[in-house]
Amino acid sequence: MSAAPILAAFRQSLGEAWAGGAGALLPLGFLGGAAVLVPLSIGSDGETLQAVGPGIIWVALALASLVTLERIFQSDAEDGTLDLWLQAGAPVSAIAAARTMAHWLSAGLPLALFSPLLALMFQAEASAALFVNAGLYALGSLAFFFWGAVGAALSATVRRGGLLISLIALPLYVPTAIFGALAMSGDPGSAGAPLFLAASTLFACAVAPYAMAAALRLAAD
Amino acid sequence: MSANARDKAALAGAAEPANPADMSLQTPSLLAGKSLGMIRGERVLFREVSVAVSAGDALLLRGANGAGKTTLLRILAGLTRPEAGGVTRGAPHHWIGHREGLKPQETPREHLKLWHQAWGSSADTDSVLARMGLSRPSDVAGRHLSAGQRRRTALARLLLEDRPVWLLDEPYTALDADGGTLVDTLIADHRARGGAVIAAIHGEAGFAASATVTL
Repeated sequence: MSAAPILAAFRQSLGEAWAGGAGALLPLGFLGGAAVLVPLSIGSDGETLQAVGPGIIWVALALASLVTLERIFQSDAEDGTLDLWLQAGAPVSAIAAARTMAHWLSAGLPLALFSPLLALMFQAEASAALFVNAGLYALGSLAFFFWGAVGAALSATVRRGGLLISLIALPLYVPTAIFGALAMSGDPGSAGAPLFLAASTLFACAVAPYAMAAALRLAAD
Repeated sequence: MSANARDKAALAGAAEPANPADMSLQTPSLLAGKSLGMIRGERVLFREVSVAVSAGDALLLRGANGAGKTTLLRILAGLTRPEAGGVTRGAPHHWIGHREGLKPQETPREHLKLWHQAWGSSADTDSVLARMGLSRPSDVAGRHLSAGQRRRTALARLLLEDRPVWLLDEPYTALDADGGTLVDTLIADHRARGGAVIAAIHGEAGFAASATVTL
């Protein structure tokens, strides 16, 4: 077995993520909108914004994953690409993982990288901790994208499957959201939280590709 | 239970061919489906269908709309699991489904480059594009191509890599007269090289079939 089909799948997904001019701009637009609305809706008090800022970035990451993943496998099933990938001679799980990584790179990672800037908009104090948080966002969003892609694979043949994806994926987001928020809380008992966050992401990366492969085979059947 | 028993009987029959002049003894079959059966919803789509192709064969699948031609092709390709029977694949195959597999933003050139890379092909994509009459629209995105041009792009995958078995679902769909002749030429060349074709075709086939299966 060679890695060529997996690399090709990755490349095709990158192209697809940037087609139509969306790519990284979509999630950043999401967060930009939230960043404007939050002070208007909960008040511009600095302390309140500081408190909710990290959580709002987590929510934006979760929504960005749901929005960008809605069509990844659905369009494959509609245009016949799925049939070709299932016969490409590489494990379907590896191809699905490659497609998910490509979408994370174009939507999840940019959001994580911009998070220090966004945190400043939520009145966070400029410090090195913002960059640590960016790493935590990157780690946690990877789990969001992998679980979201399982939902996308399961609803590949369902028209308007966006709601279904949310219903399937959101419960799976819970551990990441809990450990991610805990890791940024600065509570005395939160020292181990980043490790638990990493563990939940590793679990997602290990399990989700097989679930996606099974769902995609079923979608083509 | 009874289906299993039938399968076993069919397999036992295959082990001892009744006809000693059976060609399949001399030329091992490249792809064979035995006693295939399929159920869609509440309906038996087909049952006890057996197909086999060897080098140089062209098998035609015939049947009314909804008879299960596409489903049978998908079973042979390994995309759909049959309810009964089994498929033996002796060689890699090409799949040309009724959906082209071309993304809306993908150009024919990009499409061929992608599968060129994925399959580790050694063919020259430019000459494949020229052969398929796609030199002019080679850089036009899939959503702006005509149905026939998309069809030609899908068929171009056949030339990227030499694979003994071609599974074609309605290869003439949307093609003009030139395109139809091109498909006939490709199939003739492929059979002359020792390849085999299984095609679901509704209208006239432009080549002599070695066998026909009617569903």
